[in-house]
Amino acid sequence: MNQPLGELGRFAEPSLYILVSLSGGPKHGYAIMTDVEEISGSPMGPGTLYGALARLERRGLIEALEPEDRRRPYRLTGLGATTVRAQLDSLGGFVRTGLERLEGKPR
Amino acid sequence: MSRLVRLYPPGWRDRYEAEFLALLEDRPRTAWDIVDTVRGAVDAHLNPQLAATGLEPSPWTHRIPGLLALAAGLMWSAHVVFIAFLVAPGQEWGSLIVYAAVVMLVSLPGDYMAAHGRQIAVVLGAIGACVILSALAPWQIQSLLIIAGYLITIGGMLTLASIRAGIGSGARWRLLVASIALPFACAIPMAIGIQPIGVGAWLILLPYGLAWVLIGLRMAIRGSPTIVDPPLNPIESEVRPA
Repeated sequence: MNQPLGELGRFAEPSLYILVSLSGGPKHGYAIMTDVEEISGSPMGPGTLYGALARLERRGLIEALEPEDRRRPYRLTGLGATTVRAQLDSLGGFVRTGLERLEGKPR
Repeated sequence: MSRLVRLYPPGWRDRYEAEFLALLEDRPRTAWDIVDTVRGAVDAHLNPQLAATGLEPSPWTHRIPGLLALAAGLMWSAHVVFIAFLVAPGQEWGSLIVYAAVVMLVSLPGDYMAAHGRQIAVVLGAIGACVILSALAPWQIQSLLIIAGYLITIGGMLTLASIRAGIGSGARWRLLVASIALPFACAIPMAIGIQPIGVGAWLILLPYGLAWVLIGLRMAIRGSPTIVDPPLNPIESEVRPA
């Protein structure tokens, strides 16, 4: 996890999953949870979800929309989209480097 | 399960309770959900500004780390005065090491421990190793190990606290050297077996406590934003393309 989300401590990884989930469009809490479980393969607890959502909202990476019934959807902001893109680019570079080294290409 | 939401602070409940309860109704409950909800409530109490409606964080939450550091410094100073006058010679060092580790950990808030967990683990590991080895080692080596543990405790925790307080590297080094050199000078007679050391020698440990008092005052007056607070210019500082 690199710096921008890494500063969120134990919420860094859940935050990245949430940002990736919201990249596909606005979602409310339960939809985010099920989507994250699909992406990561492991469930995310409600306390962790709302701890991460509050941090992301506070940092301006996501914003809350008007509630539908009691379920409030969230969507990615422009800053959030830029941040998640930078995070994924960074992870992509890391993956490429790792694969190149496994294939024996010189550093 | 819905009763657990009452564990969250009022500000958080105003903002998130309705959707949180709706989420709990939407999914089957597990034991882990209960643990995670309680853990989330503790986090919400530690970071009340998370549920603040505006972007301005509560100034009191910014002052908590400084006030804790201030309390640590005052407790240390009081402890030194106590052992200088009331504790039997030869019984002081062990309690000082443990006491220093405890007060310094108390004065490092959770968000800081999360961000610097590795450094804190190294410091605590080194202290633990010194304590264990000093229990096993021959008595001649015990004094040296106790002093090493003491110095690691003071140096490590003070460095972490000065980083937390945002003190510049030059001032940080001066503070560190001064607050270690004086107690170390005080410890030399004990290491070479000259006992008892006088009451005045113990008072040499006071500058360390006073350093914490100064750090605490600085942090309390200036405020010390937690990692959940947004930076002043999020676009420039947040986004660092690979």
